[in-house]
Formats: sequence, structure tokens, C-alpha cells
Amino acid sequence: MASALTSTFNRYMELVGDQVVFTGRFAKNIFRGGFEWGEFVRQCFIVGYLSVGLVGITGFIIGFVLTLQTQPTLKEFGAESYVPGMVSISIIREIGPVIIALICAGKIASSIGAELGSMKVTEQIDAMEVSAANPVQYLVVTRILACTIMVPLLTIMADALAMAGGWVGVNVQDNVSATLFFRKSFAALEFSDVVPSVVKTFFFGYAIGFVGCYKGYHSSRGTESVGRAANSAVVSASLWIILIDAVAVQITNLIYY
Amino acid sequence: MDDTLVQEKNTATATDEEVVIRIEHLKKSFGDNEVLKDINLELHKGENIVVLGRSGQGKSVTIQCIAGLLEPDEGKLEVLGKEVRELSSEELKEMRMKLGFLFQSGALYDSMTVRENLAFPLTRVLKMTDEAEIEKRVTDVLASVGLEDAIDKLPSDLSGGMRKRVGLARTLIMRPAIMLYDEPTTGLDPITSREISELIIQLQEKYETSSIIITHDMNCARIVADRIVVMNDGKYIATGTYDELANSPDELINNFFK
Amino acid sequence: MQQKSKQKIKVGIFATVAFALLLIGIFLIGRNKNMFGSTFLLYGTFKNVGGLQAGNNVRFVGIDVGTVESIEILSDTTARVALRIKEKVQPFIKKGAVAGISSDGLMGDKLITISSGRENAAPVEDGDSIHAVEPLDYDVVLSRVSGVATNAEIITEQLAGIATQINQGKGSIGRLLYSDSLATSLEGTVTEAQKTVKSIRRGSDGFGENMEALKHNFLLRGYYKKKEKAARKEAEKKEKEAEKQAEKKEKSRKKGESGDSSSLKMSKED
Repeated sequence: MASALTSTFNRYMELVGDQVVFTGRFAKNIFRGGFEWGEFVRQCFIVGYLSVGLVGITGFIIGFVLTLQTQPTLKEFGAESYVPGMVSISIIREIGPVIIALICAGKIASSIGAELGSMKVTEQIDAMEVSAANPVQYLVVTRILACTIMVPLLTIMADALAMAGGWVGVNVQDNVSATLFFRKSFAALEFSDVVPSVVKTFFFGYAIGFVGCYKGYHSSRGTESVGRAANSAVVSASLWIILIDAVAVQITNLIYY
Repeated sequence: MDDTLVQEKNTATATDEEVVIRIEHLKKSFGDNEVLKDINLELHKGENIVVLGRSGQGKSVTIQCIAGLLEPDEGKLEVLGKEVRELSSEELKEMRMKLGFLFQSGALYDSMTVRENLAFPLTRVLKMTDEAEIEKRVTDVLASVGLEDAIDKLPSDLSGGMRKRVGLARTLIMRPAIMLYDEPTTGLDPITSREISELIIQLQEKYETSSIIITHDMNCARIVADRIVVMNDGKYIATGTYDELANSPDELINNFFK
Repeated sequence: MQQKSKQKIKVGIFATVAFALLLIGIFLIGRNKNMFGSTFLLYGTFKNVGGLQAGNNVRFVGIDVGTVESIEILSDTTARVALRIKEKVQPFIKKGAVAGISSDGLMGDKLITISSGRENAAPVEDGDSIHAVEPLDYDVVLSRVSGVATNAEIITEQLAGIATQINQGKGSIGRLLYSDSLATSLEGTVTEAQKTVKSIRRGSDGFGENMEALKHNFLLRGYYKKKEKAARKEAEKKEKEAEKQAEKKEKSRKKGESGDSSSLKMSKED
């Protein structure tokens, strides 16, 4: 029993240590000369541009549904005029970043995990390493940075669309002008709502890229390990997002209140 | 045939030719599975050594250790006179530039065209920026493997034999001193296998490389081998030319040649 | 190569759009918080800010013109509130302006309202202090209410006392309602009055007889006859006028009926 515990402990610590080493390799390779701009742009295209549709639709519907759900409750209190403010605050602060990050975890972390996993299985990563090229620089740095930069941009876009969706949602029952809706939405927002939520999306993006790359890069040989890498990339990326979110709330509260 | 005999033979030839790879008492295990128990080998300049062995014997592990992809547990492993395990990352990079590794599957980069695959080591490792120079080297090396037409194709559009050739071209474009082949003919039809084997010989002569070829394809071994090493149970149990080993009285060795 | 530049363009477009959205958002929030555009500061000193917080709105003639920048305690009884106000409204706020604290709706936030000062005073300048009206403090309100309550108590007590006294027949109202002697004396007064009227009538009858006797006296007969004639003429005249007026009335009544009916119609149409 005790030995099983220690072996579990050791395995866990090995995993943590491995990830720390991987982070170190990533960080070291960012600033090493010869940044792979071409591959970086390609990854930005895949991670960012190709996710616009999915993320946009999701964002719009979140705003729409949130408004429809909030409106009747607030109406009971005669506080209907708080709908825009409530929708904008809840979307900007929490719902937008977290849901978009989870969607991206599903779409991006899995594809990175599967891609690098299959490259590992078909020895492409080894080939790069043996040819004295730097696979971390070429594959990992570009992907993690692309995620780190694109996920916040996707979130901003989704937030904007969610507020547009909120406006449409209000107009299902009432007739509110866009000017009034957006004026009220922005009147409710503070910089202390926007800044931390934008900052945390960078961490979400990093987590998505990092977990995807780590799981793919360290998948074992064998075809089934590709699937496992993709799957565990989604699971751990989602978990990381929730954990980072919890920590981010605490830090935000420390800084602003 | 015992180890001392192998040793004697190796040292005898070593005096004639420069040794590019020297392996002594190499050991490697994965967990409880001891894959390499005691490997001794010397590769001389301009020599083609074929390592024969059954699947799952850890033949590939040896060359992965040579390339620095795996770290051996014990023993001496010198490439071009330097101990691989003691190399700094810069020295390792230098050593790898002189080393060509052809993977079993060809290991072409899926997302790139053939041209980009071939240019990859040139721009990344040799830091070449002159487009014309890169283009020239790419077409040259593609011509030497006979695939000029495939230059703008993606790896997914290529057949298995073509992938191997492009993979070969990609390693040769760096003009390596040592080539390591990991089962170059596996999964190919007999005709393509023979073509690849003949290509190995041609390129060997053209680029003056020394090679270790891992295989269990006897046709390939017959064509390319200057010397054959037979591996069993984590040890090299016999060495000699194709004909010598084909006539060996040892049943274990003889089985390969049937 | 061409495909790559297309990708670059698409990534560029996406990044630009998203970044622009962020900038627009920041600008819109900042505009609400007066972070961009020129502003000036006003100060008001309150004894009690009643839960006012930094960031609350400042209103002038019912328009949001700024926000509360900060609140600092000056002494144990005073707090100074700094108001950041849009420069555009500076000319309209005069030196005598008064700042008060009120709240926005039932669930609403506190806010500062600036009421305009004297018409001809000079506009305020950056950093000026303006007069402050203390907000309605609930303690004060409560003490006033309790004063009112005490007064009400006293009044009702007194009313109750009066009512009992009336019931007991005390005081003039009480006596009026409950005392028999007053009623009897009133009755007495009434009979007395009747007697007096009778004696007066008797007196006037005597006077009438004397006058009749006078008429028949020859000296005064002519005078009385003349008087009789004039009276008769007068009577005839009056009769004629009366007839005329009767005719007129008849006519006007007919007119009035038709007018009424039309007005009825009108009202129906309404």
C-alpha cells in the first residue's frame, strides 16, 4: 500500500518535473534566434482565423440566451433596465473568457495534441531533432505563442458578439435601441472588469497551447496514443482553464478591492 | 562465434581504416526490459554495415542511441571520436549535422510540400537564405533519388517508396558523413525494395558516406552490406560478409539466410 | 507561397478586427468614466456623505456630467468629495452652485446633484469648492418624526379630555347639549318675544287708524288724491311692461330649446 502510494507520488512528481522542464525548453527557445515566423503565422491562421466561426456563433448565442434567461427574473423586481449591465458584466468578466477558452480547448488543444502526437508516432519529431533542427522551436514555441495571442483575440470578438446577441435577445420581447443597450452595457463596465478578464485569457491561451503541445510531444509510440494524447489534452486543458480562472478571481479581488 | 573473435577481427581492420563510430559494452533498458545487453561495434569510414535481427530485438535502439535520441545506460559510444553522452547541446548539434538518419516511415513533415521538407534543414540548420542556392540543392538531391516531378507534392500524395526516397533525399541534402538507415525497405514491394537498396549503394558512392543499415530484409542486406552483424538477445553474436555468414554452421545465424 | 500570404492577410484581418473591438470597448468604458476628454475638478465638503462612493455619478440639471473622483476625510466631522466634471459644462455651473447628495431610484446608487447658483455669478473654475447641502440624514428625519409623534400624542390626549368634559355637561358646549335649565330659559325668551311682537302690532294698528283719519281731512285730501292717480298710472305701466317681458321670455325659451338640442347632439358626437 505504502509502496503503491510512493510510486504514485513519484510518478506524479515526475510528471510535474517533466512539465517544468518542458516549460523551460519552451521559454528558452522563444528568445533563441531564428524565430519561425512562417510557422507562427500558419498556426495563428489555424488557431485564430479558422476558429472565428465556431467562437463567433458560440459567443452570439451565449449573449442571446443569457439575456432571455435574465430578463424575466429582473422584470419581476422591476429592474429590467439592469439587463444590459448584468449581461455585459457577466459576459466580460466570466462567461465569455471561460466558455470560449473551453471551446478552444476542445478545438485547438485536441488538434495540437493529435497533430504532434502523430508527428511523434511517425518519427517526424525525431527526424527534426536528428537533422539538428529544433523541433521545440519550430513546433512548440509557434503553437503555444499562437494560442497565447489568438485566444484573447477570439475572446474579445466573442464578447462583442455576445453583447450583440444580448441586444437581439432583449429585442425579442421589448424594443430597445442599440444605442441605449450598448450605452447601458458600457456604463456598467469598469476597467477593473475588462483588464483582468483580458489578462486571464492570455493564460487560458497559454494553457491550451502548452497542454496540447506537451501531451502531443510526449505521447508514446503507437497509433492509439495519438487519440489518447488528443483526449487527455482536452481534459487537462479544460481543467487548467477552470483552475486558472479560480486563481484569477482571487488575484483580481486582491488587486482591485 | 564468440565476442573475443569479433573483437579481434574489428581491431584488425581498425588499423587499416579510420573508425567513425565505436561502440563498446553498450547497455540500455526500458524499465525492467533489458534491450541492449552488451553491444560492441566499430564502423569504419566508407563501410556499410548491415545489422540483422528479428523484430523487437532493439536493433533500432542502437542507432537511436548513436543519434542521441536515446541515452544509453552504460558503455562507451563514440561518434567521430567524441563521446556522445558528454556532448554539449551545441556539440550535439554539430555532430548531428554530420549524421543522416532515415526513419522507417520516411518521417516526412506532413504539413509541408516535398520542396519545403527538403529545404527545412537547409534554412534551419545551415541558415541558408539564398533562394536560388536552396532551389539548386533541392533539385539536385531530388534528381539523385529520381523524384524531380514530386517537388510540389504533399507527403500524403506520395507512395511508400517515394516517401522513403524523399526521406533519403532530405537526409542526404545535408551531405552527412554517416548514414543510419532504420529498416529502409520495410513495407515496400520487392521491386521497390531492390530499387531503394541500389539507391543506397549509389548514394554511398556519390556522397562517400559510412552507413549502418538496420534491416531484416536479406535481399537488401545482400546488396548493400560490406559486413553483416547478427543481433540476438541484446548482443551482436556474429559478424562477417554475406557469404561468410550464409555458410555459417550456427543455426541461429543460418536461419536468416534461408 | 501564395497560400501563405493569403493566410497572413486573413490572420492580419482577424487580429485587426479583434484588436479594434478591444480598443472600442476600452474607449466606450473610458468615455463613461470620463477618462478621456478634458475634465476639471470641483470640491464639496460634507458632514456626512451618506454612503457615496468614488465612481458615483454627478448630475447637473438632471444630466450626468461627471463622476465622484475621490472622497477623503478631512476631520472627524467633515469629508471632502472631489468631483471630476466634463469641461464642456463648466460655463454653466456658476460660483453659487450647490452640491447635494441624493439617490437614484429605489435600488439606485447615491449620486451628487449640482443645483445651479445665481444667474449672474461667474462660472466655477478648476479646483473650486462649491457649497454643499447636507443629505437627508435618517437620524435627523427620525428625530423630527418622533417630535411630530409627541405633538400628536398631546393633541389627542387633549381632545380626549375635551370629549369627556362635553359628555359630563361641563363648559358651554356641554351645557348646550346636556343642561335642561338652558332649554327652559330659551323657551321663556321665545314667549317673551312673541308677546313683544303682538304689542308692536297693536301699536302699528293704532297708527294706521290715525293716518286714515288724516286722509279724510280736507286740508290733506288733494295731496292724497294725486298720490292715488300716480299710483294707478304706475300700476298700468307696470302691467304693460310685464306683458312685454312675458312675450320676450316666450321667444327666448323657444330659442333655448333648439340650442339645447344642438348641444346635445354635439355631446353625442363627442
